[in-house]
Amino acid sequence: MTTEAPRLRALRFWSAVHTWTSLISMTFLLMMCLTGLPLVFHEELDELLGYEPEVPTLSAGTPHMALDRIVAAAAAKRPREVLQFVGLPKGEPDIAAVGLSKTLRTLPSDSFLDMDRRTAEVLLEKKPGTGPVAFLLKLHTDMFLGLPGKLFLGLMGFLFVIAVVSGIVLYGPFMKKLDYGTVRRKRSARIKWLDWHNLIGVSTLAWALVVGATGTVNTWAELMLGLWQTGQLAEMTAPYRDAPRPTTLTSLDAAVATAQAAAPGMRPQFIAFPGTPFSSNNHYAVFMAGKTPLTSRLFKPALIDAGTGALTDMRDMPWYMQGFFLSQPLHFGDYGGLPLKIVWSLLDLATIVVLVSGLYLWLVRHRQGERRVAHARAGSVPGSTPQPAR
Amino acid sequence: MSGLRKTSFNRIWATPLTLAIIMVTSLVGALVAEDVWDWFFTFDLTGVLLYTIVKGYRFD
Repeated sequence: MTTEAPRLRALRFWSAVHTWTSLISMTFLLMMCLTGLPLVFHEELDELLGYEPEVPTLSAGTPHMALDRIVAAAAAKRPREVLQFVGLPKGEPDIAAVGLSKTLRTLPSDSFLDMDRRTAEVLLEKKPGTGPVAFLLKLHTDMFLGLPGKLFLGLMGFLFVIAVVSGIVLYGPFMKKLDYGTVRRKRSARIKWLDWHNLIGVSTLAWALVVGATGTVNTWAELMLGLWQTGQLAEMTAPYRDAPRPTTLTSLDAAVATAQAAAPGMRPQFIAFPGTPFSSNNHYAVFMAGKTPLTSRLFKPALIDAGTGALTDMRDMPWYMQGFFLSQPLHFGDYGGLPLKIVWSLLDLATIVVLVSGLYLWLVRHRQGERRVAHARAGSVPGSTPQPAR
Repeated sequence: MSGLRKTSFNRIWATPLTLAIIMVTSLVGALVAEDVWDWFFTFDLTGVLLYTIVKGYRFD
């Protein structure tokens, strides 16, 4: 009696935590699971729908043109916009994605031009945020509400993590007399779905925790970026704080070559022009990345003086930015090729089953409770033999 | 008594813990490795899913 009472209280507490964290976050989690399903295949869908450039076949070994020439061609295509960024995607050696906007500090860029690095021809013009995949991504990440939407969904993700943890706490006592994998299909629908809920939930809990936690971290992207800009980046560019932007910029190719010489074994992945939010007024920021699957996701910005072409600073990004970069693939599952994406989508479907079955179990139990109260008020005591969970 | 508790703990948690370890190893492994290892870790994750489904349909 003395030991059972606190145990029962603890069980009730965790049961309430599990119920309410799940119920509160349910609608948003379902939305995120449903929109997340096609987003796992974002690359394939973009390609299918024509939002990915088609790279023409040229003779093998066709050399790349100078980046200066490529960005000049992009700028000529958009004379009213200024150059902001150049992306050199890892898996697309012949493509340079050039970002341009009406002002240097506009984020995201007004337009992106995918340029052929061998011919300096425009392969594809893109407006960020257009197309079905971008629509789903926006719905998935902030519900078109900007930062407040992101932080709200982050909170829902956090509630989901608590729901999973409380589910683990409850799993032990519920399974005292049952073996792992028991599904009593001949019992009532409620018992059957309770068993499936427990089985799928406990089997996929590691994935659910990883995706839930990394999804929450992803919603802090803007906050972390702001922290980096006011912290490390401000520190790296402090000597140039009040200096004006150079009127003539040094060669982009020379800046990239300087960064590469300072970070052998790494490759440039993203370059920010002077005056953009990822650099200072006076620097090209060349974001170098490693060549292995893991290190290719971790950036090391090299700041190159855009007036003289000299390297002024180069540091690893802080831990929270590195954590953010790693949390992205672990959330979207787009890092192990198509087979992993298929498994990811199956795990997503499994989570939908857990969510819907959880809602069903709550509804059934809620109705049973209401019926008992109604009968008690009417003076009868039906269901005096409560339906056992096991 | 403690032996009984240990048995009960093992019976309840041995499989879920093993599956969780396989899953985390596969998720992180696929992030660190490439090529054939991606296939290997994907195969692991598929195995966890299949095992769960097969187990669920095994009981009466």
